[in-house]
Amino acid sequence: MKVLKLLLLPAMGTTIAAAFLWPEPAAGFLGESSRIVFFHVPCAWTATVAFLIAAAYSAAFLLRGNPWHDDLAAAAVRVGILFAALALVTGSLFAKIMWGSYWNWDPRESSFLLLLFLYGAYLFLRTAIEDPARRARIAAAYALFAAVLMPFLVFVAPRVTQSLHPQTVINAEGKVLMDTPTKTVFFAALVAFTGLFLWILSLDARSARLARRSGGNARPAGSVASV
Amino acid sequence: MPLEESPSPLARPAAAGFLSRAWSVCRKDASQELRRRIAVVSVLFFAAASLTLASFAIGPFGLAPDARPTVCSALLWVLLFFSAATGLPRAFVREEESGTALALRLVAPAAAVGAGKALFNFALFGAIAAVTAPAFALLLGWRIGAPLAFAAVLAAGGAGLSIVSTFLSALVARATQKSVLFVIVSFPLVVPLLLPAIAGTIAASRGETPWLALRVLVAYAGAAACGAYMLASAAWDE
Amino acid sequence: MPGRPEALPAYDSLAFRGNDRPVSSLAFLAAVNLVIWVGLFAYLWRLDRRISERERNP
Repeated sequence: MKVLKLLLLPAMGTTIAAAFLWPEPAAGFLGESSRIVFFHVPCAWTATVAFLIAAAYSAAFLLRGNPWHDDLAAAAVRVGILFAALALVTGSLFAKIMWGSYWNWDPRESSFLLLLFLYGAYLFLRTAIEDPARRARIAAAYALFAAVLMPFLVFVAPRVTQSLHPQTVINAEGKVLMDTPTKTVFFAALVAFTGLFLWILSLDARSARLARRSGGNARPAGSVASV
Repeated sequence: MPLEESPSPLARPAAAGFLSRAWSVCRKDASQELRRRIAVVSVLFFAAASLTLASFAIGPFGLAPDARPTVCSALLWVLLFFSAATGLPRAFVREEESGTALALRLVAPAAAVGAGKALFNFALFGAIAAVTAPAFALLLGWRIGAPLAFAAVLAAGGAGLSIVSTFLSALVARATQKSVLFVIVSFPLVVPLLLPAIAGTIAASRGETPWLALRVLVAYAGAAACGAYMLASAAWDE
Repeated sequence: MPGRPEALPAYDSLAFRGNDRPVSSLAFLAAVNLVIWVGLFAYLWRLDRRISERERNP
């Protein structure tokens, strides 16, 4: 574990340097704006993975009743919100450069914003229930119910209307439309961001477990989590 | 609706089927609500107030004829969503407030209770829609080209809305600040229902049959029903 | 070097592709991001150590 964490330092470092310096800017994008793909897409991907992990641990909690699974689910939502917010911010920077305004109510922007509302509501629900056992159970039920309806938010709604968003990596042709340097850096960035996410997730969940064991709501100093 | 005073229409042998239990819960809710009238009156008052406001502000000639479908459809669904948010979440909250939640947990499985309450909520939604939609059409000069498609969109959207509201009502029933919480928790889940519903209503009032919107609405209601059925006991049982 | 202002070539040790793109400003952005990343890494590393310590002796 420790080796993997140490490895993340040069891995993310090279990815960042390469993202700025190696691939040529993609055709059809203004200036250097296509480089956002190395940061924006991994953030969105990580957020999606986070919400899937939250659903999986919520199901595990309902089946087994292990409170550690609840810690993990809640941590996944918190960290997922962080990455979703980053994806939204990087996306609207790109939108400003390419389309001239930070926010256009593009279907993909709107659906990602609603995803933030959805998981924000999850955290709000958690704060509104006092009893820890009930809080865990109700939160898990909400996370799973949300996961059932999420496809409508993410897949159906953006496709019913026209979107300006560049073709996603998973596109209709089923091909990755990138040249080799771009592809290399892109997938390296995906791996590096996923590693970073898993690390932050484990830190958050472990500090939540510490707080739970010491009773009360106090968190260890310097904790990532605040909710 | 018969107002029966028997101690509990739910006291049936355990073998009684899922549907008959759900039906009993629905009948119990209906008789209680009609007797105490809080939900029905507050919902209808809310609908009447917003209807008055919309009609007063816009009137039958306030909108250009080709703007009517869009504006009226959006207004109608905003009205329906917020009337629903005042009335539908009472489903489980009432049981907790009146202290009958424990008894209900004992006599019927969570999924049957949920199904019954969703059924009652659907009836309540139908009542609101049956009053407000024609009133909207009359007061705002809104001609509805395909009444049958229009009714189908309202029914499919109302089914999804009732199921989601009922399930979320069970979740927030024992939380603090239930009504604010309900709106916050339901809004992101209901938007993917409201958007196709509004699009379908616009198309229906222009005289088209909105197949895509209807399909999405039915799929949404089906997915919500499956999710709520499987998670019912996690949401309601102690 | 075509298209490059007279003043720039002196700083151009990073322009290893020899085209007229603003490589040195990209290198500057990369450097800033690297500094942020090293800071974040150090923060997470310390946090990890502190949490591990607490887990061992609560």
